[in-house]
Formats: sequence, structure tokens, C-alpha cells
Amino acid sequence: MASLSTIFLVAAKTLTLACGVVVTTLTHRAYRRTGSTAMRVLSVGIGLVTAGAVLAGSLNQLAGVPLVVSTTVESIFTAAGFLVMTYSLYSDRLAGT
Amino acid sequence: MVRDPVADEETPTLTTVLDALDDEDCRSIVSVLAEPMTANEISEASGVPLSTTYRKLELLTDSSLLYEGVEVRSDGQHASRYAIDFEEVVIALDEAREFEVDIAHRARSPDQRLENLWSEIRKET
Repeated sequence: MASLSTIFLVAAKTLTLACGVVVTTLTHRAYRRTGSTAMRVLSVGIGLVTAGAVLAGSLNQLAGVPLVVSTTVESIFTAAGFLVMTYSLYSDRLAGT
Repeated sequence: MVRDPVADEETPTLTTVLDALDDEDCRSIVSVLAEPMTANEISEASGVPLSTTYRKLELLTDSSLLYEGVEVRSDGQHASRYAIDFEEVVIALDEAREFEVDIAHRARSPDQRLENLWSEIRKET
């Protein structure tokens, strides 16, 4: 049973990585086009959440780090990513829109 | 003086807005502002002399038709950039049959910004 849930976990992480990279890339491209600071900050935030999900999965699966530790690492990245995304909505909106 | 883009602004007086709209230089300035620009760039693009441009920019920001923001650069030089801040200007008659002005601003609340950001990202697909 453990192996079955592992398969689901790896599949979910892979999907997260694929979609996360797409959204981060699009956001970054939108920033390059508009020059909007808010957009750049948003792309960093989405990138952090993506990186955290993948990093935690790799730490647990490849480096053998305990699940509690890898989950904590992921949570910290997620929190930081959403913090940055929220900031992008409230920071000054100049040089963009 | 830089406006806080998220904060609500007071409605400008009718006279200020009418003065700005009645001014040919102001209209030239608005027409060249496809993207945020510095006073120098605006002056160059619109052909309005720089000293006049500064005065007109003040009138336009007082009317809340433009907003002014500071771009912080890595070399420590800060330059104000101006951008269009309205969609439409409505002059209406109030209950006492006096003219009142209402300026519909571009998206400025966080949820509107989120919508704007996301629609900009969608353009990349």
C-alpha cells in the first residue's frame, strides 16, 4: 500500500512541477512584456510554491529526509510564495498595468 | 509627492478637471501615454516644452486623470513616471442642479489587480 501512495505522490509532484513551470514561465514572460513590477513579484511567488513542492518531494524520495522535515520545508516555501504573491497585489503598481 | 495607488483619493473639483480637459497640451500629453513615462519622455513624445509639461502634469495629477509613481533604480536615481489613471470622466447634474464630476479610475483594488495580472499572463498563452 505504501508503494501505491508513493506512486500517487510522485505523480502529483510531477504534475505540480510541470504546471508550476508553465505558469511561472508565462508569468515571467508577461513580466518581460509589460515590465510590471507586480508581475515580476507574482512570478517569483508562483516559482517559490512550485520549487517548494518539488524540493520537498525530492528531499523525501531521493535524499531520504523524514516526511515531517520535507513537509515542513514544503510548507515554508508555500507560505513564502503566497506571502510574495499577496505582496505583489498590494505593492505599488507603477510601471505596469 | 507620490500618490499611494491603493488608497482612495479625493474627488477633484469640477473646475480642476475642466481646466485639464480644456487644455490642448494636457490632451496631447494624455494621447502619448501608451505606457508609464517620465516627464522628459512625455515632453519629447508630445512636443510640449519641458517646463510646460511639468505644469500640465501637475494639473493632470491634481485632476486625478494621471497618477505619479516613483521608479526606484539600482543606481539610486529615482524618476517619477506618469500613467493614465482614468477610463472615463462623467459630468452629471446632482439633485440641486449643480454639476458634479465623477472620474472612473482604472483598476486599483487588489482584486482588480489580480484580475489584471492574470489577464496579462493569459495573453502569453
